[in-house]
Amino acid sequence: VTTSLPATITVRTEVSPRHAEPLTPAALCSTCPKLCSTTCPVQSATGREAVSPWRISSTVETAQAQGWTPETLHQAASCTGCGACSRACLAGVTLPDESRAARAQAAAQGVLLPAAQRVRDRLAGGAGVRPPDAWGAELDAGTDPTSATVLLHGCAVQRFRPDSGRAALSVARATGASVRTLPAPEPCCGAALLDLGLVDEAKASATAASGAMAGAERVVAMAPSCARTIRDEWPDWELRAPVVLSAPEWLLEIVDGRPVPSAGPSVTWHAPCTLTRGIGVVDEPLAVLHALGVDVRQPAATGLATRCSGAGAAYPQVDPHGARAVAEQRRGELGEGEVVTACPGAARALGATDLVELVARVLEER
Amino acid sequence: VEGSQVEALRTLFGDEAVRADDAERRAKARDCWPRLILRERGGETLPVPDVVVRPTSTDDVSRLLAWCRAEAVPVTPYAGGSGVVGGAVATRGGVCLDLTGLSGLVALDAVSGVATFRAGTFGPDAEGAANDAGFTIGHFPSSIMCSTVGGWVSARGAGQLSTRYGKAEDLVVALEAVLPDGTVWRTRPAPRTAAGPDLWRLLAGAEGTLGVITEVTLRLHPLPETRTFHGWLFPTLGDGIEALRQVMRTGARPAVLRLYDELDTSLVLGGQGLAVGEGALLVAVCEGDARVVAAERAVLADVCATATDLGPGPGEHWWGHRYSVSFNLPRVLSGQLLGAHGVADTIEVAALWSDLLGVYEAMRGAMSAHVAVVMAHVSHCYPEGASIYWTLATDAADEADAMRRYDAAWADGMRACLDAGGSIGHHHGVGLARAAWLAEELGEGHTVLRAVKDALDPAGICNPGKLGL
Repeated sequence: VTTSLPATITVRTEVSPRHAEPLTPAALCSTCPKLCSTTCPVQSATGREAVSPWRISSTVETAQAQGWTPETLHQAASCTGCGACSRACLAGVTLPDESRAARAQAAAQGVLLPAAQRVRDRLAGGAGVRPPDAWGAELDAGTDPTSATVLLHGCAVQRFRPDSGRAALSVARATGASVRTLPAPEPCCGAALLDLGLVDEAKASATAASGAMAGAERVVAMAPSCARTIRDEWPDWELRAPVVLSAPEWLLEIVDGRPVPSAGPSVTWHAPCTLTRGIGVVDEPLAVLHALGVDVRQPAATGLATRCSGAGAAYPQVDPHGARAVAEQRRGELGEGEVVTACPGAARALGATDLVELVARVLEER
Repeated sequence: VEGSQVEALRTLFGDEAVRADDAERRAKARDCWPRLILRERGGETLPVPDVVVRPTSTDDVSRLLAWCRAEAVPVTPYAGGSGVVGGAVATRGGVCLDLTGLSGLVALDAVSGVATFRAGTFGPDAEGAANDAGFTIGHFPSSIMCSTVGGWVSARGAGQLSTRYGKAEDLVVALEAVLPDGTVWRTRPAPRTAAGPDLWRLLAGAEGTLGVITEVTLRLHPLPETRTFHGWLFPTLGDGIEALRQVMRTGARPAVLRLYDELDTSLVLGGQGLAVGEGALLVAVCEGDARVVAAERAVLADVCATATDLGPGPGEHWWGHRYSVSFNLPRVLSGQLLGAHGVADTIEVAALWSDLLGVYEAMRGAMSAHVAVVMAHVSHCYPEGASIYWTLATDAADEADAMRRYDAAWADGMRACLDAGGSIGHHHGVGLARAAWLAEELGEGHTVLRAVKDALDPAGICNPGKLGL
């Protein structure tokens, strides 16, 4: 670049060594025309620009320099981890990663999300991650303790969606699929704790879960966030990870090739963010539904372009009101009738049926 | 805004619609004006609005403006915050009127080919709704992902395909607005009218100083049946400009006619991995009815016969990267390309064909005294002239030097444009960036504008400081 340049100014044609490091998300976001604006479900549902991806990036950078406060942590954690903004971002900023790192960094400084403090208090008191009344007594019913496939229910199923857990066991029994569950209380794989910024606790619990899976060749994770954590985080924590299957992948193994009923139910499919954008499972749940003869409707935003239910990354614990607004927004897009999804958090937020419950129901009706 | 006034706003509009927390106010401190980014980079804390109010209906906007008038509280409209001239900055605090709560398609008349959108509808949602019915709005600014229908009209924006589809104000069939006293004003939709002056045009380009646009009825176009891409290399920029003029005088309206000056051409061709030839690159895109496109291609081929035909590659490459350019700005402003104190901005002006090359040369000479890289492309063509879109970038010794260079380039660029017969803005609006030169641009028109402002907004509460008002 030498044409038409005044002699007094030198344009650097190579990157200054001082600034050779990759640009921070905040630097990228500060001058970006905010192409992610329309993608963020929290921003659109709450109308708050402060929780838009570009503002969270800026807040994270400021807090990293000046220290975290409960207010800045709340802002940085106002992210469902859905990844819609990352898909739109041409600069490659992955806000879910930024938000997760922010929670951990703030926790390391002693600034905790209120929900994280409650969990930490519970752990300090000798209790597990989940409340003592959590579902779990039926976990072993009818499973094969020698199976090489572990069925991991996950924290959300045990706390909020025990029927999904029962349905998974029912499907296994009905089809002869060999699975075993972990001894109760099932340890957290780390996903729920990581979402709260509790990294040490997440590693400890994941270590226990990995140990309980000793000898297993595969693990079927009912929650997409569990599948992602085992796949992506466990190797970094130097934990042995069996081959991970999401629930739809496992269900497809079971129903694929079975006779298709002439007239299944009619449902609307909500593609969970972590299942699709997070771990790349897009077609399998639809294949399961088709194999069951289900008449499937899909909203305009589906597949990799799906919209969030508000249930991810502990957002319902960070901002319950905002999470309800996000869920209502998505519910409006899904329309009337039965909604089916494949994520316990999304099923709870949307009042939807989990895919495994539908499979169990159809098999039972046959 | 006092605490009791915030409470009054909460009583009027509900807690969810009224935000006074620091995070939300700071998020509304600026739009995408690079000068504000430079100020932040220099360590300055920008002024923020006192409270953010997000109404969800025209009636709410009406009640809010009436309240602001009664309480003498400044009110600054804000939607996507994509503007690049400081038009959405709350210079005097007060209320930030967040229009994104007014969103969505109101009605679409497929027979007439018009659709009404609420003002806070973001570009992709509006275009998507039109597409669902087999139409396109045809308005594709590089900010489309983060700009809104109301902002397009309020700042008189232009999309990348404006040579075919027109600027934002050319798309308007009717609008609804709330005047500063809270009166709701709806204009009658008509293809054209002779029933007095087109008063709605007062609000197109007023940037919220005369009221707030709440709904816009836009004309739609059928989705294009075909699209073709082209590229030619002209010996000089002047040769290319003459070709553009000839094409536009035939009546052809290619969707894109984008002519790069020699420096910009070398960067564009180099970026595509092509040999950097001497000359000025013309990128053209035709789209629409196949018969019309065929005629446009014939016109282009005829007019560009003496230039070097580069085939469809340059057009296809531009199309594939047409929203990417903005992402190079962070690399300058963050110091990765031009050092820690790098400066970058864009300036768009307009001129008649007879003045265009003179405006180009005058502005380039004036701005080159202050910034290292000065390059431009000619685009947004009309039968009588076109826009010149400048890109400026430079290194600087420190933050003060960066700001001095930035301000000097703008001042001398605007001066040179006016002296050479150009118009100081084509589609980014006025905001704060051009406020100092608007009176000279408009002449006695600015007196008329001031009189209208005084009549509609005597207390001067609506978006104070913009347009020099």
